[in-house]
Amino acid sequence: MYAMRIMILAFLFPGSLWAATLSGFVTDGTNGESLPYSNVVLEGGDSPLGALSNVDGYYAVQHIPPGEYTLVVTYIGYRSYADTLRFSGKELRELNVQLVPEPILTREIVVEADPYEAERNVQTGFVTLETAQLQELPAVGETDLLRSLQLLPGIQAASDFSSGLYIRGGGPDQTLILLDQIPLYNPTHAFGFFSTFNPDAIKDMSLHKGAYPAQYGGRLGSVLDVRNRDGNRKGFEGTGGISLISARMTLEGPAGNGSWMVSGRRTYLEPVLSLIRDEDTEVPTYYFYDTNAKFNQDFADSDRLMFSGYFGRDDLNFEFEDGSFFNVRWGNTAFTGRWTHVFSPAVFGNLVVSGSKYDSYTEVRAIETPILFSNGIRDITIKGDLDFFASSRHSLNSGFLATWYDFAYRQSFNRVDQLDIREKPILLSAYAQDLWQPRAETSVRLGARASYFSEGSRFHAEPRFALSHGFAPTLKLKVGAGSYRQYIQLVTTEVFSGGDVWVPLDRTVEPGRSWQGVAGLEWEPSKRYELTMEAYCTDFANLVLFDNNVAVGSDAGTSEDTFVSGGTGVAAGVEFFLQRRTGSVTGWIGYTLGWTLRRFAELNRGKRFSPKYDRRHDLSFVSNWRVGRWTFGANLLYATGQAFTPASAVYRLRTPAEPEAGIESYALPADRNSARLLPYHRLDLSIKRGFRIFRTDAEAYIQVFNVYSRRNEWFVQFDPDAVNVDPEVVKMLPIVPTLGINYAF
Amino acid sequence: MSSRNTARRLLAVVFILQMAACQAERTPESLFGPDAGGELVLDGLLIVGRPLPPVFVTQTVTTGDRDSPRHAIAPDAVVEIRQGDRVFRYVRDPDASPFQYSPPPDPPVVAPETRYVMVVTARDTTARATTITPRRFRLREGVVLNQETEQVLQRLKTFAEAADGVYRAPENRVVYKTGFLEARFDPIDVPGYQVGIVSLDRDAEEVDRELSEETPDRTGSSPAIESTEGSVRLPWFAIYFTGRHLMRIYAVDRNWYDYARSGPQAQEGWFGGLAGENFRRPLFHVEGGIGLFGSASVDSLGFIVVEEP
Repeated sequence: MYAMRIMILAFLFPGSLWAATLSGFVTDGTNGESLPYSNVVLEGGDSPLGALSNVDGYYAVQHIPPGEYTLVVTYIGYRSYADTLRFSGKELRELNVQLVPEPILTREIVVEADPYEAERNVQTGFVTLETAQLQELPAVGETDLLRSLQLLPGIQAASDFSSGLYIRGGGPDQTLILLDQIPLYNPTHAFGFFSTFNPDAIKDMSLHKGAYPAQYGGRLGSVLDVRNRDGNRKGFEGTGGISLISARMTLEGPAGNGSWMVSGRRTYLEPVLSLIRDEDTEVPTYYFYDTNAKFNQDFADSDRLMFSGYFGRDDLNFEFEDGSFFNVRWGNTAFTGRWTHVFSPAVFGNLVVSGSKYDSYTEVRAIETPILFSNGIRDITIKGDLDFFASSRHSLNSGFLATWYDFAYRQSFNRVDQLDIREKPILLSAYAQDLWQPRAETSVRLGARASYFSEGSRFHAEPRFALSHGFAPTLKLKVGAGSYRQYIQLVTTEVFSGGDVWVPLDRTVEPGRSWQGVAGLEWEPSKRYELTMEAYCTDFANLVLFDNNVAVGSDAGTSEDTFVSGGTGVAAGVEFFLQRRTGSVTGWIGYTLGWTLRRFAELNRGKRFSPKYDRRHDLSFVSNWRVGRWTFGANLLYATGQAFTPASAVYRLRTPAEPEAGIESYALPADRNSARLLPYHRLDLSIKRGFRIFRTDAEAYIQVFNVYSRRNEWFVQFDPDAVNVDPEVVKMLPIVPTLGINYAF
Repeated sequence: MSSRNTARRLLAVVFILQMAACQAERTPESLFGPDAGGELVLDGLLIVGRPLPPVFVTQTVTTGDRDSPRHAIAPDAVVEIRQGDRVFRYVRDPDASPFQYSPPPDPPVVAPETRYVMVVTARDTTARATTITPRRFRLREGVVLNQETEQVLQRLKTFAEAADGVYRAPENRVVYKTGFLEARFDPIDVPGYQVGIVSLDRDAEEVDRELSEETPDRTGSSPAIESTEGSVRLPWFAIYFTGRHLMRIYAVDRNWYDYARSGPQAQEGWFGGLAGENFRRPLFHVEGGIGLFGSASVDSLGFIVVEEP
């Protein structure tokens, strides 16, 4: 037994068992915000010793032999920190490092990872974006996180009206969206036009486009992890902005041994809409708002508490003179409490208790006929993670998650319940993974996640794997793979995301499964340029689609009744991403060549078809040019047209329950999605100028979306009652100019 | 590169793209898929307890022909309905309709719980569909309920109680937009039901409503309904006229039910038609063709709609 312990210790601690340990937090020197994934390296020994800080900015470098070293800490957008340290033997040294931001002119705009982090980070398809980078991009109306992500290769938009993410052949419900580790079920405002993320409140976000690691689960495709600002620990400050649509403000400051942050945003369309309203024109009232709050407090050096909350709401109301009305409202409420504890310099843990609530409520009263659709999801989650910086070669992570769901869906017509579903499943998950660096240029991450879902008593094990190997200082190969499961399903239409419905898959339908494989090359000839190429392939099984043929009053209410199930699919493609990251002109060119296919026995007569978001070619050009106080931005996009179902013939039939109506003509659909809309392209431009007013830094901007007003096609509408009328091609947005001001004090 | 040159190049790019943007328009023909004309379309609806009805046989018309009735005629079609060993050969009836085929003289009454097969042969192509008729179905009662308490405000006379006298019975006068008009029945073993409504008075006045169509239809029908509780409520938005109305409740077979829940009527009603996603091939149960050969048992409720005083 003793020998076994020695062997394990020798494996985990291949260096001296009696060497020194250096640990601490890496933070922003101006406001105390933690800096996740910063790179910490001790140079000067036989080989460099290093570590990557975790998401809380905590790092630990273990087993440092006696000697003199140069500590170098780097983080994207910050000046590198360097210091000389001497270690004499066994000692535990704590060093908190504060980094100072670099001037904006040398900042990188969008990165996949910084050069040092890239060497450490083995993850394929990993994208990070900061608020400042987000706000550089031309937008329509408001700066928007999800819309900005749609400019990256492998990520598509369904339409100009949608902020939904279609990543590498997956639908929007196949991306797990987290805000401070809480899942958001409908992250959109304005029926999908904007996302719920207030750009001022966001600290950063990370996106795993595929083959994501074992600490995440529950979705077939990808993970978007958004973190709100912790709050300024050094002093009070505020930021805000006014656009044509909304106003927003964020305040933050120190509190005791920590910080606080409050952020709010609200539209002010009501006065505009009321101007249009008159006796002959009925105009709806509509607004949305969201608030974010966060409070941090440190206790000694080893404990931190964090509380955060989110509350957002949309409300549309349309009233008619005869008492008829249409009202739809939806929103998310979420809270998190997190305790972070440094058990020892090498062991870092956190415990999270969180709750999330999403509800959507659509109420119609059409000529004294009440119609109601309501959907609610509540979940309570307890989650724990433990990071063990075992050695300079091994970093172990493990954790657990237990979620109690409460799903409710009700549909009634004329006060008769047509569906009344209430389910309370439980999801239990645990994971473990090891990031192993056998050689300086090689990293391997092996992990696995096990999940149990109480509906149908499903148990699944999901292996995860990632590898990176540097062939040369500038050239690296990355490979990733994994298996993924999804137990809850979204019923949605991109036109009307306000009525989004999430339901769990019960024992009648097998949960979705995907196998993902990704391989990529990264070439970084200089700090200024980087070229990445990634090939991906995902195999889907047990896919489900909402069954449009569900009859009114269907009271069976099982997943088998609600969905067309048993679908298979494949998504494959190649992405190219060339960035210019520093200098006065920054930006990127992204290109994706992709194929996405689905097959359901009950659809399209069992034949394979493309989902509408299948794009063969997707090209984006994004650029920013800074000249003094001026910043010019441009986005140029081109994509293959979406798939749609054309008509192939006209047929005649009587309407069965209307014998007096006679025979009618109808369009006969051809194979599902067997034709293409015209290619999509558009150009967006923006101009910004910084200035000072009332001792406040401010920035005025003008943005023009779709400069040449290309009326891109959205979908084709065949009128089944007027088959001799040409089908209508519904177009997307024309040119949309907007302006606004951002300020900070 | 000077900023003036940059501005010129940018303008040139915008101009080129503006020209490209003009290409976004296209001809309607380009929105149609591969031609599927010439396919046989069967249209036969059997009602239990009624004589074998006329049926309609057409063929699909290519989209390029823009739906000319002449092209929809299935030439030299041989139409039969078979029940057990009996074969009822239909004859074309162009005086009634270019597409109509009528049964032989003195057709038999459609029997409940019986298998019927419709076979059409034209141009060496045979299309075949089968229906099994539901058993007989009867309404139990018709009532008007208070919208808040759901207490019965009014009990309507049925045709079984008063025959055509229902339209003279004061109990059957319902005030527009007052209460829920509900038909109650004992459910039978069918996949589902469908409700049809028809305004019987040609000169009836339109009711006063905000959400009105320009030229309202005198007939309408519900989506497919699964009603295990044995009741259906008529929405007031299905009523456009005052006067006599006939509400038919059809207990339908699988073919009828699947077409009702997947056909063109079921594809309406979603905002934006699900961005085109709702345009899908209906569930036909016809071998060698498309269409609907279905059956139903039906009972009706008659009532008179009056405006609020």
